[in-house]
Amino acid sequence: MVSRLEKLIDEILELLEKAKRREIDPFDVDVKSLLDELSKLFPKLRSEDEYSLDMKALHSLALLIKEQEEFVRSESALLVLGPLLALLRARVMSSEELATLFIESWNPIVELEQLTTERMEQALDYWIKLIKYGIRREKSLPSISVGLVDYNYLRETGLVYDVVFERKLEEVEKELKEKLGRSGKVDYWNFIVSNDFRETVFRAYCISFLATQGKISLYRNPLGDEIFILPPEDTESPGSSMVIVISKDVLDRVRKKNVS
Amino acid sequence: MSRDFRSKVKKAAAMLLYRGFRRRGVMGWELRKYIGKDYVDVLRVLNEELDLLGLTIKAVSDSGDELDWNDETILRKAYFIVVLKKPPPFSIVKTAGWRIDDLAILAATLMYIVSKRGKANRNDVERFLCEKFPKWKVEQNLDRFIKLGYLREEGEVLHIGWRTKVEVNLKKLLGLPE
Repeated sequence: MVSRLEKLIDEILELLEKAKRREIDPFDVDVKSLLDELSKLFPKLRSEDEYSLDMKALHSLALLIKEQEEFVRSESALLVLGPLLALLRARVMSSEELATLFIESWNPIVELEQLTTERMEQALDYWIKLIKYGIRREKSLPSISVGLVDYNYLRETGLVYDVVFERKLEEVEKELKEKLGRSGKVDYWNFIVSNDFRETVFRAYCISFLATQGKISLYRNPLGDEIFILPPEDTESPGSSMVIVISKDVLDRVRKKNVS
Repeated sequence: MSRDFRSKVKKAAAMLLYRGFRRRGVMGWELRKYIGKDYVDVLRVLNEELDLLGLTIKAVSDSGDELDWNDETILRKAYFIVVLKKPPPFSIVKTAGWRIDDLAILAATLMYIVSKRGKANRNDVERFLCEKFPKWKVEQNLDRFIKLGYLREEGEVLHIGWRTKVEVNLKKLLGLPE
C-alpha cells in the first residue's frame, strides 16, 4: 500500500515540476484520474504514515491545480493585455528606446561573408572558359529570315494608318474650328483626351502640329494648370515654345472631371 | 574525438557560417549529404564549441519555428542556423551598419503586427509608423525588412517573417513574462 502511494506521489510531484518548468502544459495532467486513484486507495489506508502520504499526494495535486490557474491567468493576460500594452509602448517610446528594446530581444544570425581561395579559383576557371559576349549573343540570337506580315497586324501595332495623316489632321482642325467658333477658346485637355490612349497622343500631336503651323495658339494659365487652345494670333512674331507632358495621371484626372 | 570526426565538425562550421546566397542556414538533408549520417552528433559537438564563443545553433522550420533536435525525420527538412546566444551590445549593432531609426521602425512594426494577432494591413502599419517617421523612410524600411525575411507580405497584408521568429524574442520585445 505504502509503495503504491509513494509511487503515486512521485508521479504527481514529477508532473508538478514539469508543469512549473513549462515542459508540459499543466492541463495535460489528468487531475481527475489521479484523484480517483487516491480515493480508491483511501479506504485501504491504516497507519498514520499512510494517511500522511495520502495528504502529501493531495497537497501536490492542489499545487498542480494552482499551477493550472497561474497558467490560465498568465496566458489570458498575454492574449488580452499583452498586445494592447505593446501597442501603447510602441506609441509612447522614443526611437532610441524602441531600438534599445529591440536589441535586447535580438539574437541575430551569424554569418560569414568571405571569399575563399577555392571560390577564387573556381571564378578564375569560369572566367577563362567564358565565351566572349559578342559570340554568345550571336549564338543566342534566332536566325533572321524574310517573311510576310499581315496588314491588320501592322495597323493594330500602329505602324500604318488607315487614313493618311494629312486627312486626319484636317479632321482635327475642322473639329477644333467649330468649337473655337462657338466659345472662342477650348480646354486643351478636354479636347485631346479620348478613351484610347493612342488616340489621345495622336490628337495632342495634331494640336502641336497645328500650333507649329500657326493655325492655332496655346495659352497656359500661369496660376493654374489649365491650358487653352485659342484662334491664331495676328502677330507676325513667333510665339514661345511650350512643352506639355501627357501623363496617365493627368488623363485620369481629366476623365474623372469630365464624368463628374 | 577522432580526426575524421574533428574534420566533420570543421566542415559543419564552414557550412553553417558561410553565407548562403538567398536563404540563411543549411538544411538537414544537405548536412547529412556532405557530413554523413551522424551529422546531428557533429552539430551537437559544434554547438558546444560555438557556445564558448557566445554562439548557438538553432534548428528551425521553413517558417522559422524552432524545432526539437531529437526528431531525425523533422530535422532533415529543418534549417540549421547559427545565432548569437545573447543580444549584441548596442555599440556593435551600430558598427554593423544598423541605424537607430531602422531598428526602431522594425521594433514598432513587429509590436504593431503582434498586437493585431500576427498580421496587419500594410497601409495601417504605414499609417501607424508615419506618426513618428517620414513616409519615405517607412516605405523603404518595410520593403527592406520584407527582403531580409523579418516580415512577410501577402498581398496587402504583413505577417511576422521567418527571420523574426529565429532572431527575435517577441515576448521580451512586448514586455511579457517569458
